[in-house]
Amino acid sequence: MSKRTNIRNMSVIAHVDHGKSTLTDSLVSKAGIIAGERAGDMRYTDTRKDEQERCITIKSTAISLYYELKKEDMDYVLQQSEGNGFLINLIDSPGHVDFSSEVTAALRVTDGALVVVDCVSGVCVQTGTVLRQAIAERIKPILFMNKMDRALLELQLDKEDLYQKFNRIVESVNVIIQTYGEDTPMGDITVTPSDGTVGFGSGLHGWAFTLKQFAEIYVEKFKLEPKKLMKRLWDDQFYSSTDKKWKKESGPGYERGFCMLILDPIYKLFHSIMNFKKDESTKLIQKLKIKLNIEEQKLEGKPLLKLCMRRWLPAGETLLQMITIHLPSPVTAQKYRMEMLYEGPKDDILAIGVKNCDPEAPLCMYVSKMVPTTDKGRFYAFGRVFSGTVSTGQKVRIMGPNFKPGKKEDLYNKSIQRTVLMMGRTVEAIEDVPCGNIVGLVGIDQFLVKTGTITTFDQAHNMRVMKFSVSPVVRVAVEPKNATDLPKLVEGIKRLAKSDPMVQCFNEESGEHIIAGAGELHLEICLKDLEEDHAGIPIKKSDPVVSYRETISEMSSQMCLSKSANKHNRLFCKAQPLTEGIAEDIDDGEVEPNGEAKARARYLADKYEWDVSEARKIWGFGPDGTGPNMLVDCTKGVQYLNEIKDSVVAGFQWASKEGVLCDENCRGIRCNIYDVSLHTDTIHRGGGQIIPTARRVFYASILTAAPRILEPVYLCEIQCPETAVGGIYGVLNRRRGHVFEEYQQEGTPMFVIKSYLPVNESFGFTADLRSNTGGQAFPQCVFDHWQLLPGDPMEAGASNKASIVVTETRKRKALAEAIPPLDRFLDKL
Amino acid sequence: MADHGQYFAHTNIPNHFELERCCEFIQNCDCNRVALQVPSELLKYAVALTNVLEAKTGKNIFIIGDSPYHSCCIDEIQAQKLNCNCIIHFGNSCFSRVTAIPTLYIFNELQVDYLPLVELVQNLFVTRDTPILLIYNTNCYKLAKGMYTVLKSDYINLEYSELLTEHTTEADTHVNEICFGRKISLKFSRENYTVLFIGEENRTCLNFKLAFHSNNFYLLSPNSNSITQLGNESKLLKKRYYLMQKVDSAAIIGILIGNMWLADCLHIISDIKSALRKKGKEYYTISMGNIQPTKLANFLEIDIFVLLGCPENVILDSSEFYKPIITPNELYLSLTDSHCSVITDNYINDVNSNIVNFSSLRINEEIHDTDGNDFSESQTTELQVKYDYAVQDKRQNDATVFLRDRTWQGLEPNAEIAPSIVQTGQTGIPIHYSSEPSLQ
Repeated sequence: MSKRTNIRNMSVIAHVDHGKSTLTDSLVSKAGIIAGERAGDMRYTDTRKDEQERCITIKSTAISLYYELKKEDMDYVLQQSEGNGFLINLIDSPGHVDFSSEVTAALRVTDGALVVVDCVSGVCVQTGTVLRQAIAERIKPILFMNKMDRALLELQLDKEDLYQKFNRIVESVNVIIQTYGEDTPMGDITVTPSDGTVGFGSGLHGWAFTLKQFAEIYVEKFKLEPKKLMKRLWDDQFYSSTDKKWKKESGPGYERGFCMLILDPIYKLFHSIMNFKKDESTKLIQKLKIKLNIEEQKLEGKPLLKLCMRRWLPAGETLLQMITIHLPSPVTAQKYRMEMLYEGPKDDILAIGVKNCDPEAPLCMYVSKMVPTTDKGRFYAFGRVFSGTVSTGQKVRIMGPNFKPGKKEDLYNKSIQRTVLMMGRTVEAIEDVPCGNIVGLVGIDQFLVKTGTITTFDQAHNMRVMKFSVSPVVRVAVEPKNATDLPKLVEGIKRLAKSDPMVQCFNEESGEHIIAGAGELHLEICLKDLEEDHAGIPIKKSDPVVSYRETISEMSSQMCLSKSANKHNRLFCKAQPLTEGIAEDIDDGEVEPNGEAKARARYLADKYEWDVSEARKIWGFGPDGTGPNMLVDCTKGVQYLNEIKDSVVAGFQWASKEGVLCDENCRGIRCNIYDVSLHTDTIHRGGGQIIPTARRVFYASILTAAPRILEPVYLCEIQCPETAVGGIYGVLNRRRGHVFEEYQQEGTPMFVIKSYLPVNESFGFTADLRSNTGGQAFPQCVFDHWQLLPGDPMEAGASNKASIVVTETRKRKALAEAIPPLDRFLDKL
Repeated sequence: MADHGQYFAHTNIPNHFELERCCEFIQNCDCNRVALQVPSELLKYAVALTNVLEAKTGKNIFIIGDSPYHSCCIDEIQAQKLNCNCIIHFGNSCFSRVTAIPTLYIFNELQVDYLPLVELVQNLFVTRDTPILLIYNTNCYKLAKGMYTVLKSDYINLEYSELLTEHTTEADTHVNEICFGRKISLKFSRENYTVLFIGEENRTCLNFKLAFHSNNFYLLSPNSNSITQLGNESKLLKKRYYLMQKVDSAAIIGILIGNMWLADCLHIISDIKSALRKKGKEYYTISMGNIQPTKLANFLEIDIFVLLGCPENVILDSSEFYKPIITPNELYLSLTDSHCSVITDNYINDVNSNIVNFSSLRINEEIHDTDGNDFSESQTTELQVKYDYAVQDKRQNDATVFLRDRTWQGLEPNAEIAPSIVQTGQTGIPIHYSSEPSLQ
């Protein structure tokens, strides 16, 4: 544990149902925690009852393994290391999009990722998403092609076709890696089979190999170093057994190295065993030096096949080799990850400590999630030590995400009660943990909501907050069936908020408790947990509602004027739609509200052709100082203007947070202040006069700029056989969805349909789809963008969607039914 | 009296203002100066009233109108300014306890026949043993009493709430609760009662509705001669609940004084302060007359306000205010981490009720720093270097941080413009400067 160079922190990531948990089993069995025979069925890391029942992973689970790499393999480890014993901290993450926040949390604390791809269905939407996230976090990926047994047994592809399929997957993974990881300091992170960064096999059957395994087998035959031989086993390398020669292109008598030397023996073994050719298979088994005892020799068919393959090419061994050889140690990884992780100056003690992964430096640990303990309502703070050493009883600073250096908000000085190691289903107490490790802390859960930084350095800045690839767009209001149970519900909601990295729990102005999640499934699980575990009381839940955004579609039709309550101050303002693309850029952090103003102005001028002088005079972003709306000062030579800036910005935050239409957040609005006339006495132009006036003038500007409603839209990917395509189209049509891509997966009868589906229409979509396709279609929905809802919300009408949404929202929030009229905000000269 | 008859065109006026009682009160008190506190809607009768009373009693009578806070509260400070030692208060009263100044309450009784109302009640409550609690608006005082005498023979479980016109401390064993200036004694437990409120839907009614929000609540309106069941106020309570949640995240709390002469006002303020200190929150005490959004928005650094005032006026609609305003009771519940009881329990909107006891507030040890090391830097009185040559107090609090983060820091010396040369300006007085030509 103290040998930092021999630690590998890694997560297993993939699309749903590509076999992560099953594959993880092979690793766990290798470590002797579960029996080898049961590996693949047990799903050791799916610790929850509902995970086992539904056969999906919901929460990510961590386990630590110890592995000794063979002495002769140490040559392959290109980074610094001491001894051949390795500690592997592995996190199995969920694949369903709704739980991808768990993946984000897992990625933060690891340095490498095992990307699992089902070689039958290929690279799917979620594979791309998680891979992109991994690269953004500077996580080095390695690839594993899972479910080879299916490719052989079900698809019956011939060798060349299978090679082509593998090659395509490797290529498409590399395309993603290159697109998002073009100039990372990680160096070349593309995966290539001939380097050993791609594994093949079957998690279910428990076997796996890389080209390295086969290169070692053929070492004697070819008298070539395994490293050189590996190059021959992939790509256009052809071999003729008669000529005993390698060639770059195919020709008569020549066969691709991969097919001939790797796939051929596997195919033969499969054929002989599955076709019950006992003589042939026995011969083969002997030839491959697979040792079977007498009882095992009597087996036939699939059980025999599984056993043989597992003996021949044990998955655990292969994977652990891949992990230890190719994934970076914390020492290696933190060098390039520090600048991404630490918000403070890159040369303070902590930054250096993180960079060097120095156990003697001040402590710096990031808590990425909370893991429930057996003690109800208490949590382990789960995270990674990046610098220093964390120990039991240590006094630390606990800094939440809202902490700002020099302030005491969201900051606690506390001591750590205990430090523990997370071992899947159990924990083990440990005295102290040096940097580079993943650890659980006891006794600090009540000071953190979900995540935070823990340090001993009193001038520390925060570690960067994690960015989720999904956003909580679906929400329900909950209340106890029995009103007196409210305290229990509140307590339960607090626990729920802790236990899930992404779920948002808050109170709406109407006093309702709102729970917002990424999708229907996510919410369903959250509510179930709340009802059964966290609160333990019967709960009433409202129908799911979608959160909307308010926007505008044109420039304000007139210059809007509002006067302050004392009539001495006037603000002149207009609103215009924010140039298309800027709102997204703000979301993605391309345009940084807290960034340097000049750089931002340059960016806006270059990319969006903004006037540079205006771009430099951006007063603020809203809501909450960071949102996708801008306040721009377009005034010329106004006296006292700087003095009221804070008040106007405060009014802007207020107006953009509680939009005029139905109190929803605004999006894509640019408010320009053109002129201001102010009273000469400071007291008459204080915040009290300006803030409400600013809010009014912004409301007036929005109302005169043809306000519109935006609704969230899912990107929805559906895989199905051809027969079901018609049914899917029908369901999508009924739900205002539209298909933008449809293709057949090569080499399979499966179709992939990609479409946009309004979140509002997605409730019950999965069930509807199942019933219309005989259960053959399974959608993956992830929030994609905001889309204009047709219709003017100001005009009532039975078919006017926007106006219906506004009315319903206002009703739900207990606001006056009608949108406030313009003259409440607009004053005359 | 005849001289002033023109003002009292209405025959019932002497009755309405209970002139007899006023005279008696004035004559009995041993001072020469008496203040009449008259609400705005009755102000037009005030002069006539004064004249009549002065003529009758021969004492100096003063009018207090246009009270800076609310007309329901006794304006003791004005009375003191006028050197009056007793007050006659007209109109609706909130019965906020005041420091000892002899006070007579005149409720401007509604002149309505109660018999039709009695009939209405009898029609509504058929079962004669229903536990009913009779509460009334102050201007239905006599009306209610009359109804009670008639109804109590029919309804064995009818309870009557006596107005607490004099702040006696007598130990009445029968009274088990004092609620908004009314003695309420209940035979059964609270939730069994049906509440019958006589009067119009006003603040008093709302307060009772909140206090009995799980009970059946009927409004008997003497003006329209009707009886209606009122729905509960769960929406309002939920909204209050939402506002209370904001206390948790608030760093700076403003204590707004909405009524200066509230008995125990200072005592409550100091209790609130010490409770906030224990919680590690900062506070500022602000006294302002009328509470307006524009005034409060001048205190940008304050996250939430607590309004101390009479129970009839502390629940304000927060939507126009930049920062929310809550009542001391709500603050208390928030600080004790029992936000939920605002919805689950009865909502008592009265600082003087026994549920609130700031001084006994025990701070949840986990929230307060038990290690005793809370931010040692903020405890020292050292100075720290702020800029190159400037120092500042190291004890930072949230408000100084707020001020530091403000973009506008005051006038900045503009180094580019050279300082102008001092010149002799105008002399003399503004009406005629010496440089101006002579007036002649």
